[in-house]
Amino acid sequence: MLEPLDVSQVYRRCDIASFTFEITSELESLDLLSGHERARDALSFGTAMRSDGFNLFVLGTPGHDRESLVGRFLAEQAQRGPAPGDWCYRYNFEDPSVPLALSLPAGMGRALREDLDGLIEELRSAIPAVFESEEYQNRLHELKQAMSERQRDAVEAVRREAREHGILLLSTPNGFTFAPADGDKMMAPEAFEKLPPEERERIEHKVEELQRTLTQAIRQMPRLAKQLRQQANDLNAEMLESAIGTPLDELKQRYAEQQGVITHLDAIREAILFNADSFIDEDADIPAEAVFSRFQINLLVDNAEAQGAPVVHQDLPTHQHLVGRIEHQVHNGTLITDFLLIRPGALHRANGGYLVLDVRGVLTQPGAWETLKRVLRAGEIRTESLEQAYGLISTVTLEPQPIPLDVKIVLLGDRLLYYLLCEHDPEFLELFKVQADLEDELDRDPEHEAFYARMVATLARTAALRPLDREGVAAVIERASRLADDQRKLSARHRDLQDLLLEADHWAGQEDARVIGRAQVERAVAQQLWRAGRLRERSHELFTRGTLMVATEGRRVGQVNGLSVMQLGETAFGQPSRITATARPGEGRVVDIEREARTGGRIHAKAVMILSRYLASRYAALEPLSLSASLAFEQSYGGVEGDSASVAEVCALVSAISGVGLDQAFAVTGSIDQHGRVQAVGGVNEKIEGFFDVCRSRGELSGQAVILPRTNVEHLMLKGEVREAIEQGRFRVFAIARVDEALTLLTGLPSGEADSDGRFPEGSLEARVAARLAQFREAVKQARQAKRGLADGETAGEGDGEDGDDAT
Amino acid sequence: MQPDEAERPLGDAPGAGSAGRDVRVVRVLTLLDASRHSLAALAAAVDLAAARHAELVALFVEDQELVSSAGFPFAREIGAVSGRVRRLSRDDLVAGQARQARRVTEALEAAVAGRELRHELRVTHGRIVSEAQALAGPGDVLMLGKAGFSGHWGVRLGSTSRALMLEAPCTVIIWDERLPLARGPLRTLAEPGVQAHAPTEIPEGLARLFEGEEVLEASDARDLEHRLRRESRGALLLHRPRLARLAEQDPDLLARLPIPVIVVP
Repeated sequence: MLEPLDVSQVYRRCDIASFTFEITSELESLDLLSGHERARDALSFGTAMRSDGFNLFVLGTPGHDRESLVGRFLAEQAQRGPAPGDWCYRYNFEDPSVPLALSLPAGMGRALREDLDGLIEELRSAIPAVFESEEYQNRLHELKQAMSERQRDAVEAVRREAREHGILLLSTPNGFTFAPADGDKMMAPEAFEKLPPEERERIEHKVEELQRTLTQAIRQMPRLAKQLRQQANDLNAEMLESAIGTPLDELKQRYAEQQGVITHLDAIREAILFNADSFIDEDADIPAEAVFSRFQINLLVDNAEAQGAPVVHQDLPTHQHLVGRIEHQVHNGTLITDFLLIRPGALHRANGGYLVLDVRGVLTQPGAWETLKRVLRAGEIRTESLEQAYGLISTVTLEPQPIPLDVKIVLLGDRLLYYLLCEHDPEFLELFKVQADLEDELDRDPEHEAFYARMVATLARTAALRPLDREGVAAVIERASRLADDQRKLSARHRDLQDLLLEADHWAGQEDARVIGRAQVERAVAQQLWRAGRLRERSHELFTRGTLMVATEGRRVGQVNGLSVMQLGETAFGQPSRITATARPGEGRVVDIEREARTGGRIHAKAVMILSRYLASRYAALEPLSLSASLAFEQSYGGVEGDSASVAEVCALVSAISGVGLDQAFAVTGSIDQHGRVQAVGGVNEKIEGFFDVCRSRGELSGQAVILPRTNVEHLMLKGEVREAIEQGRFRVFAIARVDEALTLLTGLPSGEADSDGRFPEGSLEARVAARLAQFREAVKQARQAKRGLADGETAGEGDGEDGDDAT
Repeated sequence: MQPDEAERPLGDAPGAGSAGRDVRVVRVLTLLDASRHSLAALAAAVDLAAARHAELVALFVEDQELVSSAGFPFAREIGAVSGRVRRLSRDDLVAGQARQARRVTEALEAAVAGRELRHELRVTHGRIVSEAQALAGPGDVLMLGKAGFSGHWGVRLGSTSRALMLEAPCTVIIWDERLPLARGPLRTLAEPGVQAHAPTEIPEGLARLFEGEEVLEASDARDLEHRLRRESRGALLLHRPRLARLAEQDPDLLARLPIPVIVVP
């Protein structure tokens, strides 16, 4: 007879004897990535490869606390790397809409910004002083006066020449005219007519000549004005040079090795000379302050205080937060911008180091994923708005010169997203060549238990919690094993573990304990379950009150307790469900009512097909299976999926066929193959605890039991109450390898193998099944004959009708 | 006829007629030639006349010399800016002067419309300077537009303004039509050697148009220009001898000053 499992088989305790410490504060901290060798190697490789496309994707669940796990690793890597330089934008004097990028060694950006501000401050007072100076004013005055004289003289010379020849220069509303003189007055036209013809001719000739001369003189005026402007400009330049020469030369000397700065300083010199009017005329088109503001630099990335390479976490990876943005100011109701309003994005700040992004965030922010890929492909950061990038607006704005990019992108995300991206985005693997796959579980062996103790110590220390004693650590390890649903594994998800420690520390604080012990850890676990337990209790109440019908004692034919798991968010709990079967003679078909009603899934349908083939080959190997059977999950309305009920279904069917009652104190889980071997299923801990809770809530336990696949035994990490009941023999767990073992347990009848004639031993369950199936076969055979006889009678003739009646 | 005879100031103010002392504005005179700057001076003259309750007399002189100069067979006009030579015909000149007279009449009517202002337009023939000098009396204020100075070489009002400024028997105000009338201080130049008397020399009637007085310490034309270059309000008052000295130093000074200039005999 099969023996129930021992309490030591349903729970693997942690042996504290192997611990070499008393409390965890004695243990040294460790790198939490130590347990994830594969991921750590991948991270090391990915961060060391500087080639394009070797960006990283860290695969893991949120429970891994990927952010801090990877963050710590990158911070260490970055510490060893060189600090990147500063990045600035400067005014483009040739094309103001394309501000120029300026790269400087780390810390120099800040110095340059201050130097340029100082320069502007200096020029702000020095330039007006130059133009106010006596020297300038006098020289300008002289220039203007000399020019006025030249202009006046040009007309005066004509006037004098005319006068010498007895001709007057008169003003008209629009210009000048010449007339012959009579003394100081104009000669009357009549008097002119009376002059001798030669004299008239001379005057006329001379007037024509004078007209030409005056025309030429007048046409000289614009050239003279231009000359004056040129001379004034030369004077301005000469005077400005005295004010700007020294400060600019000083700066050029200081930044002699920075070609970009030298170019900018040269451009400043030219801009001052070109815009001299701005400093002279208060109402100039471009005010002096506007000219000065062009000399400044916009320090986009300041790495003056950077220690090593930057590690930037961008928790809201929008397009703008990645590539930066161009801000605008409202001026007289209009939005205006300039190069000083360019703001950096995470890519700018992370340039030369690492940028950590949550892939879900990148994918859900509009345009962010495409932006990230475009930036990585191009190898440069182009700061533009999304509307601009997609051509949705075409207002005048800036197009800053792109900044070369040298960054390692580290994406954090679920495995599902990784594989979906692999499948649906052809560029993804080109750009993210390195996957760092975090382990979900660690092996549970003495070596790893010691490692785990250090990990617990590290987490407690990092979070400034009380230390744990040996029992406390053991309880954490046992819980980690339960979280992994495996006696030979430990959960590697740090966040779950850290939450448990934080809660345990809280309870330790409540109890004024100085260290966290087993009691506090178990209390934390119990509280977690209690908080999440409302639905479980409401569900179990339905069984207690009999709303959902499940028998936990007595015997019934064609009825057995199956076990299912409800998963709701992070919590899961198990509960029994009644599986029933009927059997009658028929065409060898097992009707899966769940499938017929379309409430069953495909895996369940497959399991039913397997078990019906098993039944046929086991009990009717040489004969047709004349059976019409049905299977149903009673009171199941939400659908049935999975194959973990197939052992229970076989038992119900065999009971229905043989008419032998099944012990209702058992609940059964496990799937089978076509040969009746029992296979492992999931959620065994929840299933056993669920059945245990339901039985206990109905009254005293009286040896109720769960049958599960033998291969699932090492997954058992049952809770304390169940272990206690097992120890006292009030609750049992049986592990089976073949479905026959379950039938023996449920029916109390021995199992037997068929002899060479295909006959089963007398009194065995199989013999009763075989006998019953033989009856079915006979019934079907008779029915067929009767039907055939009736059909023959109809075709042979009317006189033979009575045979047909017999057959029916 | 002396036009100011009938308009002598009431009450015979002490010192009336003596240069620069308690002059009461009897008439505001303005020379019109239908040009932009003279029309601007007209507007300023209307304002001044209305403020002082004085009569406004606008003078339009038809230049006979110019008309007769068109009688020569070679008569041509050379554009002051373009330098282009155009035929000058007597008929065109006469017709042009008639048009100007019409425009001046209309402009005067428009400028005084809605105001209770005694006004008169006198149209005479002859030379502008002599006609204006003949019209003006010691109690009058002659308003002249300014663009004539800064405009081009020999534009009529330019030379006319120059002559009147230095020779007219009354106060002359040179107004820059490009600037609005802005109240501000009335500036005078400190006379070397004269102390504390300068403010009393400002005609009372004019002083009321301004906000306070200010004495400038300017030694020469350049200095004066430098001190005034950022001013936009008020006016500068000059006595004629001083103006003559300044004009000697820099003939174009007045053209460049950014505020109105008041010249008292």
